[in-house]
Amino acid sequence: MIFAGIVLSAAGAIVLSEVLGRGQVVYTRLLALCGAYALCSVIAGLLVARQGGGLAGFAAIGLSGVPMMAAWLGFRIHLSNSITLEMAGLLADGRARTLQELEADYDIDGHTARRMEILRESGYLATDAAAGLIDSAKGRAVLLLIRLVCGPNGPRLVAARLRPRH
Amino acid sequence: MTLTRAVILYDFAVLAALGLDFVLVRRRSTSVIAWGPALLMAAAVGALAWQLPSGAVEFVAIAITILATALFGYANFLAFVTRGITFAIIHNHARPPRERHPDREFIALEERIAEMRGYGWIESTDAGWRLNDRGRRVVRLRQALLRALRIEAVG
Repeated sequence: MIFAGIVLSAAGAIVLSEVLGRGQVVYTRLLALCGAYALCSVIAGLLVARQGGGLAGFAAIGLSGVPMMAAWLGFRIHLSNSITLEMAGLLADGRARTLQELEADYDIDGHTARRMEILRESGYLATDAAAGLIDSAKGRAVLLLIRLVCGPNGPRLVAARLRPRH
Repeated sequence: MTLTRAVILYDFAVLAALGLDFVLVRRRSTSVIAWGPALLMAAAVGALAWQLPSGAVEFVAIAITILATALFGYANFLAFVTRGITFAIIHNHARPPRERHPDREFIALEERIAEMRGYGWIESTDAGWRLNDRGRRVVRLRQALLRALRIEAVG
């Protein structure tokens, strides 16, 4: 019963957030994903509690679905945002390409512009490119998170690759 | 011990093991596979199941699901914090304009070729890189998922 409750609460939250999100990039609507999970785990938790699972059953469902949601979040971000998968898709027509040909087909500037547009639409970056990160609670929170989990220079491998050029 | 208490205990143990792994090991490592916590938590499944008078089978099913999804989520998290392009762009834009890198520099396609080679998705030919059968299967799966879930591909 608890296993079914855990799986159904996570699956319900994923379906609900995808229906409401309409294909948008998931990190621009994290609160909606968390809200969907909270709602689905409360429903599943209440059902289990009524069946005799008690408060412990309720807590077990709420906690155990978190790793599933984390796994979905990572999978979903890779699915939409992976540059590697997008490049693999360019090779799907069976024609061999050199790195230069792949760079031309990939359209680095177009993809970069779309990523910037998404960050602007989701309220992280100002519309004026020179203005940079918006000084809001959301912007400050994500910057603090990046500094806490990645370190002072942001993602380590990206920082190491860029540093020698400047 | 009851099933629900064993599940809650296991949830906290997995969280603590991965949290400690991140603080003590991953800040200096580039690997995204946490073998240490995985083996430790796999042993904990057996130890906790042994103590359950009933519901051991359900506990094992729950614990394996928790562990597998937690490790998958953690591997993705480690990939984002070490080489996440979105994180890097946001961090870049927190700097004064004259200290910023051009945004297009964050997309390093030669690294993606190396990544695809590492996964065994592509092969080298005289005319350049070409997808092999494994790569084609991955691309087909991604395209099917994007279509089924109506996801916008940003990559």
